[in-house]
Amino acid sequence: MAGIVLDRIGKSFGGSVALDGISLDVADGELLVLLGPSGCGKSTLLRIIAGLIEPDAGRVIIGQRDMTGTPPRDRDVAMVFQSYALYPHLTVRRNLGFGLRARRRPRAEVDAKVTATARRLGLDGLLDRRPRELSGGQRQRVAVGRAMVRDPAVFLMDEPLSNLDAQLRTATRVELAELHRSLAATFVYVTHDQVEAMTMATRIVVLNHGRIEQVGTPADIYAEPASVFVAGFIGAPPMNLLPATAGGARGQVRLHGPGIEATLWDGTLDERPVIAGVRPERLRLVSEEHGEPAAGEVGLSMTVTAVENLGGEEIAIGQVGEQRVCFRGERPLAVTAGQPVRLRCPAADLRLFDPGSGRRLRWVPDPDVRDPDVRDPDVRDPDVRDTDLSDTDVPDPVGEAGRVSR
Amino acid sequence: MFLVDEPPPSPPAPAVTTAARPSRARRAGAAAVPYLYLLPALAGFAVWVYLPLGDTIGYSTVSWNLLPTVPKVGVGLANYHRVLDLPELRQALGTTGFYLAGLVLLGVIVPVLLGAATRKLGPRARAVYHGALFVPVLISPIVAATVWTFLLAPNGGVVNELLAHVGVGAHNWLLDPGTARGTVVIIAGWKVLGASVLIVTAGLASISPEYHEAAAIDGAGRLRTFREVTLPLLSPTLLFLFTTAVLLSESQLVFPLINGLTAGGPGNATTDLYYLLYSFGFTSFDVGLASAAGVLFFAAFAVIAVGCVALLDRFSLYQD
Repeated sequence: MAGIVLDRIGKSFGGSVALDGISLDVADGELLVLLGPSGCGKSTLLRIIAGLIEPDAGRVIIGQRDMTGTPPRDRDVAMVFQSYALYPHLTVRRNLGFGLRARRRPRAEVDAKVTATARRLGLDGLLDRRPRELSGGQRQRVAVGRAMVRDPAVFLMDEPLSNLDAQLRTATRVELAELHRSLAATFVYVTHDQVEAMTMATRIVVLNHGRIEQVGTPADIYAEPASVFVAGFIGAPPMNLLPATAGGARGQVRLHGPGIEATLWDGTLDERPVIAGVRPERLRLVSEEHGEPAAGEVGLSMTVTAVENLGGEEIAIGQVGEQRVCFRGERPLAVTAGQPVRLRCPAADLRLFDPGSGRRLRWVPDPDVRDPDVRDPDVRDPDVRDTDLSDTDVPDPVGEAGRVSR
Repeated sequence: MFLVDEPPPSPPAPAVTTAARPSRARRAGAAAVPYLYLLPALAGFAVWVYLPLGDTIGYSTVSWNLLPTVPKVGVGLANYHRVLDLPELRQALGTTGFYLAGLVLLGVIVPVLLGAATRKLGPRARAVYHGALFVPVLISPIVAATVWTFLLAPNGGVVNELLAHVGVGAHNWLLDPGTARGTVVIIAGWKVLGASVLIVTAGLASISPEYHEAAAIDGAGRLRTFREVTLPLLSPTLLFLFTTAVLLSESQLVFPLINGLTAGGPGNATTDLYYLLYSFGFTSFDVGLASAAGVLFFAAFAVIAVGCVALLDRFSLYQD
């Protein structure tokens, strides 16, 4: 059993930066999901942990040992490939036993472990078949079995479910999560599927353009996205994002923009542009008679363009100002295309982002009333008081965010 | 009481008119179309392969010396008995085996080693290397034989001159029965090597790198990976090369080289089955004997070809 520490990993391929100073701490027994769009560097990072690619900079530490430069075979890791990479000329039995034979284990031990693993994964009857005689789901099991049979400290999984059909993917997702619980080994799991990430992960690392956008539990990542990218990537449909202006003159911070209006909270603030984000399921429909949103409420005016029926729920899609906005609720929503509607949500469900950097803006109450545990020391400076909202939550280059948000 | 929710009834069959069936002649014409497409190729085969093959079988039962004015005399199976009793046949068989072994070594085994060794080269270096290896493939065998005759000349030939520098005395490579066969097969290998290396390189490139990555993580060293992963995955390529070496290179490449380099000599040292057959027919003008030998070799190589194709079929199943 081993944890993994990645220390300022950097990697470029022919001038294009694939990974830019990634630092990450994976606890022993964790199921850490690396999530991001294609080309974000997640597979490269996984291959660097495996030792299949050497980083240009930084260290890979597995179980307190610096493994940078160590060949894959000596890292005590196993990997499940997206294509499974089952040896096509070998039977399931020999595929499962390959790693043990390569390590010159006695024949009796190889047989015993292969049999035990096959039984555990329900592959008993398939041991003498070759990979092409198996279904997609069975191949996937063999790939997992080949990793399990060596009892490694770390399992690396590169989109292991992406070649399965939707139904099988859901079932296998649950099985993999159970396997992780029963093995109590460290899993690093690469996916671009946010449902896999949300359902399986103990923590999610969201990567974009070779940098860490956010590290956190699935609940954190969903509820408190650290950047516009995370907000727009997680959720189906993702968080609604609207450009607006925030400012507070008469002791109240207000938000206004095309189609959005809100009185947020007490405080003073020089006017500044923000991006306002709200989850589709937080919005609720109010009748036309409602006038201006009350204090502590956000109001949106939307023109519905389409309604999607999901069975139990419906998603209404429409325009707010120039932006596309969705809201979802139990069916029927009782709206139709072309209809103007008013939407409300509590100010507490609003997330604000800095339009320049895309990072999350956190409101820090005035110094005299704020909680003692608010961490930003800059707030003590009286000059900064009115620009608290610009306290952008940028991770430092060594990935401080990755270290503290366990 | 319950009412069962029935599935929706199928709609009534739509009213359509049946199109008239085409006439018998029209249908026959339509059925003939695929065969008409095949006809040009089949005609070529018939004229250049099947007719001569039939003729050869016919000639193998007669005694004749190729002169149109001389009548053919039927001798039954006597030609076959003569072929099998000839001492030259045994020697030619041995020489053919020697050539085959040399071609398998230089056309299959060495290319695999070279292909594996040059895998890590940069693309440019590899292109230059492969280009250099490929040049001999483009030289016609007769030209190659002529050039090599000069190079191997016992007095003043480049090969002997170079060897003199490392202290090896002048040697008549093509006239010494001890070295003639080896020299022929090395020149044949020099001609097939480039193409084989290219084919092996293509075969290696078609193997997904993930198999090698999986083997590296599984803990297999370079040798085990090569033996247990690379070679089996390369087996369709290897069988293809083996089949070409045995069935094509031996007949199509070695024959013109023997003809140009040694004319089968010294003695019969470099005469293989094909050259023997040729000399029966066109040196001794014994058409019956040459045809009987041709039919026997055809049968023997057909058996080998069937075996090779069966192996190819079996091993090509690896590719998904």
